[in-house]
Amino acid sequence: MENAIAIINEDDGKEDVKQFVDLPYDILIDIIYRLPFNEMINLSQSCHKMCSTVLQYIRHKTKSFCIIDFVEKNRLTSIKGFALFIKRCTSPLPEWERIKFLFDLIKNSREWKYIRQQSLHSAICIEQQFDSYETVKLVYNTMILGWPKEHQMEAVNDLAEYMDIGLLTKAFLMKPIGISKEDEVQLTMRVQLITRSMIVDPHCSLMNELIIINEIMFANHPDSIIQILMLFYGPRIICNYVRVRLVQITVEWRSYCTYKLSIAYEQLSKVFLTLYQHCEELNWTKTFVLKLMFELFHFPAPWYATHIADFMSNIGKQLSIDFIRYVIKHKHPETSHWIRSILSYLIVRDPDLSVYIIYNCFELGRHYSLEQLSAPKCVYEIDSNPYTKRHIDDMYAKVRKSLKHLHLSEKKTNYFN
Amino acid sequence: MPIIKLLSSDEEPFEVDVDIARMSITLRTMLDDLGIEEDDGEPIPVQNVNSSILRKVIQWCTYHKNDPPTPDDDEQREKRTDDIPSWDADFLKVDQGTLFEIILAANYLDIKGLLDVTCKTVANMIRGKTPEEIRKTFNIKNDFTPQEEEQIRRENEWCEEK
Repeated sequence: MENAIAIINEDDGKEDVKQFVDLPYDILIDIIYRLPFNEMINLSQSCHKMCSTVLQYIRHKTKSFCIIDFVEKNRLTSIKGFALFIKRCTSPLPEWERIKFLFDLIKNSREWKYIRQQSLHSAICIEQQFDSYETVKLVYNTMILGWPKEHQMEAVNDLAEYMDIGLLTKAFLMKPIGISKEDEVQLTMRVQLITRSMIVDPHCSLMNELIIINEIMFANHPDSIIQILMLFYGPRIICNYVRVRLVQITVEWRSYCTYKLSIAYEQLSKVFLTLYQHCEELNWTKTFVLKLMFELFHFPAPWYATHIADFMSNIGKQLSIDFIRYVIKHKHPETSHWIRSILSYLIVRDPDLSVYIIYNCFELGRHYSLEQLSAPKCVYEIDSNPYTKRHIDDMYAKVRKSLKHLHLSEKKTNYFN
Repeated sequence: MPIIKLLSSDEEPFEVDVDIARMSITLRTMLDDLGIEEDDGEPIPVQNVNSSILRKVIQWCTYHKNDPPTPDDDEQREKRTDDIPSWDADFLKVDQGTLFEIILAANYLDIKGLLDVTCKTVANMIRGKTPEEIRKTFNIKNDFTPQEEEQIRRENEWCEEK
């Protein structure tokens, strides 16, 4: 061909001579098809048109094998470079097609494990250039949707090796766009499998477990979350989770992040409520759940009564009453102080519940007299929010009013007189 | 052997065996549709192909008239480019303009064998060359800015031969 090229060059500049770049797309593709991958890349570096044509060829779903061939034959060392290339190659594609491209790349590899690892890492490198939502969607869709079941655990382990575990969990909990109800069920199953695989993985440290749980809780999928917690986490993990959450709550409270704080309470109360309702399935006794709650209120430092009151207003009447009864029954040294404080706040926060508790616990239990509960010592001080006796008197006035409203007998209301 | 007449875009008539003409899918369809089995006096116009290129195409088809048919399925086509028969290699020792014209004619006339061998020839002209050498070979204007060129080079570094 060298001779031919020499002849060709003599003809440069001749009018109406057909040029290589003027060949129609189909023909250029036919030529590109015959080139090894790295030669294609060289051609793509010659001009814009060749660049777009080569990339268009490469990202064609049935042609992506050329990348696989190349990666497999050459044992790539520059994964980041590969990732950048894939990003550029697929950037004109709509998001879903880009995901499909990566997925096909992984799925079609003959040397499955190696290419999968490269592609996974590539996907993760690409991620770093997207925002976190994109990241989660891409990873989720690439790695989870349609992933062959027999490779699922293996893939999870690979991912866990490369990826921030919190992000990974987010990805697993991501709802794909437009999936059917059946797929959601399938998704939940997969989430459970994956989460379990991480938990049983000896390399998965306690801290990672806690991070995972925390991410799960923040992922706003309460049903799946509680299912996972119930099915796959033992009491230790649940306690650890709640403890982590308590640390966060304390930190957030201190930083006056009230919005996050209320979310945290809501999540925590949901967990307890669910645990309480399903304790038979967990082979736990109800007392165990109550004990767990009681213990948790002492970690890392005793909760402020206002927090407990907030928490209790979310866990429902039955659990609240059972909890107060448990506390009364087990006579913790701080019990009296606690109950007074909790009721003080609960009367303001949720008068109906406080009346219900007072009526049920103290009328039936009689462990504490109302005199004890309403003594001036019940004033519980919080730095920024001190309550005076007068304030508490006002609250009891509200309780009396509520009791009247509930048409309770004079005998019962006498407790407040 | 039945003969038909082909008329190039510059109106030069060519007498061709029907069997050779039928190596072109485009001509075969045309002959079948029109029910032409041999020369009925009217030449068949071959638009887009001038006389010098049509002559070359007929020459190639004549030489290869007894070849087995090329598989239709693209995926089955051999990717290798080092198997160009020596006659074809000599036949395609032409200037670039002519080579590309033959490719276009093979594409228009839908002659898979010819398209195959011409594309292989062009692919061979690309192989082993740096982007700059490719530009030089094909008279391609470098329309990248220095920044773009650097960025693309960097992004492609991963697949450079070590």
